[in-house]
Amino acid sequence: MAAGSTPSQPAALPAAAQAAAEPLATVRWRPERRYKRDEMIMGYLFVLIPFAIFITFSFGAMIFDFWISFYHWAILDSPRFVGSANYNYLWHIDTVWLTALGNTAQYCLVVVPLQTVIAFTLALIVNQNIRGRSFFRTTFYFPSVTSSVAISLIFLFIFNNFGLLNFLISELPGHPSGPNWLGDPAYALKSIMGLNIWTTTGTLMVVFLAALQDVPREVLEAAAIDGATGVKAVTRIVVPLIRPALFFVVANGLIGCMQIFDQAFILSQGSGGPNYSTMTAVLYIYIQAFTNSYYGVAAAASAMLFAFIFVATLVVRRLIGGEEGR
Amino acid sequence: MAYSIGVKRARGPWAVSKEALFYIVLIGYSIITAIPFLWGILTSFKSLPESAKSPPTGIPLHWTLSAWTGQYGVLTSGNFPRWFVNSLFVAAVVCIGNLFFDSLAGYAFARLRFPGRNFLFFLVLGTMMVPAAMTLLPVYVILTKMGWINTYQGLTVPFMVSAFGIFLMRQFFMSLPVELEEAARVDGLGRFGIYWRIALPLAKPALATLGILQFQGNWDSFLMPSFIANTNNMLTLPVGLQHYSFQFTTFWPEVMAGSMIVIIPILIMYIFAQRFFIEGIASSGVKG
Amino acid sequence: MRASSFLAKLAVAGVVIASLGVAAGTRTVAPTQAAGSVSLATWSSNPTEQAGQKKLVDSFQNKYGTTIDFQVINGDYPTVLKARFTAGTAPDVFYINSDYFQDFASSGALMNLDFLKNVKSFGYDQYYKNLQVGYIYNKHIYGLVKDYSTLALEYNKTMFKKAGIKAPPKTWAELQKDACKLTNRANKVYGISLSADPARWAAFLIQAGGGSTGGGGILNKAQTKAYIKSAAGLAALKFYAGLVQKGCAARPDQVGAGWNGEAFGRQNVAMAIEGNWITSYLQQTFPSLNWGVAPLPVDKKAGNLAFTAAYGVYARTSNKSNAIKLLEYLAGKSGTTVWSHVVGYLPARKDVKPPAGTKVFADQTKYAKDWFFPPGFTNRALTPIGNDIQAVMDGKMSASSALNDMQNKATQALQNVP
Repeated sequence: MAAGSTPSQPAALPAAAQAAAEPLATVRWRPERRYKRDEMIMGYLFVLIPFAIFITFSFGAMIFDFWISFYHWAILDSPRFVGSANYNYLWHIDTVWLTALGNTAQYCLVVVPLQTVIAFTLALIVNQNIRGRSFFRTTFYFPSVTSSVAISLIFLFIFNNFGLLNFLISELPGHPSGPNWLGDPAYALKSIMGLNIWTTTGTLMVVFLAALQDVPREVLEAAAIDGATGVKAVTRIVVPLIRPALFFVVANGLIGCMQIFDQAFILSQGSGGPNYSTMTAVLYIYIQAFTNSYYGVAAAASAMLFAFIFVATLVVRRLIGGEEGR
Repeated sequence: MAYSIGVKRARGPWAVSKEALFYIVLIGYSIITAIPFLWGILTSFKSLPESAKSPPTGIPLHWTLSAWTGQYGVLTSGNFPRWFVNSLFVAAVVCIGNLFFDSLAGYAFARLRFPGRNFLFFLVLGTMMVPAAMTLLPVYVILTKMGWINTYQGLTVPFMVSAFGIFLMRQFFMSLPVELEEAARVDGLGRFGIYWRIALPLAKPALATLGILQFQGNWDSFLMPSFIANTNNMLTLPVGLQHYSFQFTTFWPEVMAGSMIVIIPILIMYIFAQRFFIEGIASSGVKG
Repeated sequence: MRASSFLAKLAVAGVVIASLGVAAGTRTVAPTQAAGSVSLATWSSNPTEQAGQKKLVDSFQNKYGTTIDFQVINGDYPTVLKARFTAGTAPDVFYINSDYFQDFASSGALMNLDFLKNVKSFGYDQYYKNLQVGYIYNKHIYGLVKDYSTLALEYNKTMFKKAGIKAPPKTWAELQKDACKLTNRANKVYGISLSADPARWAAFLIQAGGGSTGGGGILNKAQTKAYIKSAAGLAALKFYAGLVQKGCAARPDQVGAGWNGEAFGRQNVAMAIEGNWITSYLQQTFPSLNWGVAPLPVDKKAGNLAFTAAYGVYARTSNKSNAIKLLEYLAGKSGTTVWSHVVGYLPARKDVKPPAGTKVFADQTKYAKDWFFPPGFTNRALTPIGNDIQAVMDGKMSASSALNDMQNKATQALQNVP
């Protein structure tokens, strides 16, 4: 997946949003109901170990992060309270964080729409009476399944100034010479965008495909009779019907993009260059924490990133709507 | 079910060319998808000078195994075999841990009533919204304090429970008919017995999906393991590959060979189990 | 009753899973110290260095009978070390770099080595003062420099002969002339590979008469001020970046290479400026290359940079006597001799002769400024300086505005961080 981490991300927000509504719907709170004692104990026992791990490494981690963001800490010494100095540093003193945010925003604003549109188009096409549908589905999905490190290294080779891509470009009529994909600050981020789109589009296509298959035939036939064909049919009729899938694709795309790390790390050889053009938010956090050992600053940046992701997902929910699209 | 948008029922020359266009697009995109892998594999069989040639050669002029078994070959000189075993072990342990703990917690949320249940579940959901970046630091610090850096515990335990997994299992258990469990209760099975003997066996499809996703996710995982493991013997495959590639930056055949080692096991697994992969993702997206 | 049978099963399951992880983990937990052993940690390095390390380890073990627990740390070396310190599994003796030396020294993680001054057999006075200075903090010794390298001009003898150039350039003017003569853009060959790196450009700054006597020639001795913006700085930047702008030089990435040495080895360039680590690299990777070494071309004066690495000892080691014994061996005359002769690096001690083939590098020592900086400077100043150099090379920034920016960033970086 785009984030390159365990698949807790794919279903993250939309699932969370939907499930948030569920418990309250299925279990009505009856204050006077008494819990059966052994059921209670069992309940707690069941969740005991999972939550021990969970609290320590997930939830507790969040809290710790937030707490340490108000301290200066470099691991070898004890944390020293500095109040909002870290946040101040990020906003006013260090221009690299703002660059990182800008890069990440630019990245998301290009990648998410592009990969959504491409994935949707592909899904539409594959959903037609196409032979070999299963083959295409399998092929397109494959890049998402492979290690982001391995893929990034292959693309590092392809994007080399004297590599495959520039060779192919030079074979085009007119023999243009391709740019220095990784060494030119104007192109480095675009290279990563291309890589990510290549990787993630397949997954998103699969989601769209599954959603499209639920759209009843009659709806479209009715639309065709009414004269709505082609693009109009698609946008006016099909899209609203697959709103849950659209929300899933856009929300996950956004969350994944805002946390892009692996590809930026490998393609820039861990530097975020050239000239900070590939410095993304998470790469910045990583460098601050693990190269510079400014844990407080890194934690503050993480907290801010979390806030941005949260807000962005709310915005997407607003624009596209949640699960109840029909 | 497939239907045709924008293609009128009548079959005329215009309709045929539209279909041809579709095929062209799909095949074209398949080529774009396949080329990087092909390029990687072919390069791994080239010699170093040939890989640096400009213009690049496609099929190797001289097939050679030097990237695999030569002086810096991945099978012989890099620590790839060890990293492979590490990845296998870690991914398997995390996978099994997830299957067990996520289904335990998922079942409890689905079927057992206890005060604070909703609150705890909200907690789980909340962390799903937290970017992985936020947990980097704290997990690292905690592992440091526990002395678990560069150990197998550090590489596995923090990942043995996943919010996504809990959620998935809960959804599934909730969809099971209650009658089966009620019948078992009447028969005298305890809570755990019901879970273990009735619910879990029924959950095989969900468990299979979760297991595959977790295994693949952990196998490919790079960010977390890269700072948990640091002596050469403890690296997992993606991290080892990255170290190897930074050390031998432009030994392209070797680096490509290393990439293949990381990709191929999952490729094999994928070919055999792709139905589960794909349907797992599709259903989690569409049905929520 | 149901609860207890469930509890039992849960306990068993938990134990099984936990022990899976722990049992395997205890096999490879960061090494425990067996009695009569000492641990030595190094960063990951190329096969030549590994051979040198092996030789040192073997000869120490044979001589003293104390086993060495040799650890190679991949990944971010200083961070991992810090993690080890906190977790209580720190190595006794370890490599240290000037980049983060002050970080460690100021936090009390390094053992005070002043006592070595009084150990006659060790011969502390044999260290080159201008190299050892980077490892003295608050007037106390916390590290011992283990090797160093200076920069030199490597040139491709075959290409020179073909172009009819008899000798490698000695001045900037000659360098420019030769580089342009050797460039053949149609064949994708350039005269010289120049990286956008202050760790190369600073030598030019010094040669133009700029800079100062402190870190890298960029800072003053007290490391409080930066001396980049000057007429000399402008001249140095215009020359260095100008070569790329004219098209007679290329950055490594422009010829698809990772660093100068690789561009040189692939013969995409005819000259390169690198330290003597390039020797073993070329021997291994491009053994048939016909190349030579010459002193850096000079301008108003000769100038060079010295890159060092050192040994440090953990302050709170539980293995004090063994650690000191190991340190005295590694950094003493015999250990240094073994190291520099196997690996080909320059010894930092006067009583050890430089290995064969390094004369050109060794001769530059007297002009070389030690490359070391206060903590944080590398990331907050050196990286932006490199970016600025690249911007000038690409014609995106004028030399004077780049110089201004470099000076600003350096000054800011010398002030306190959050």
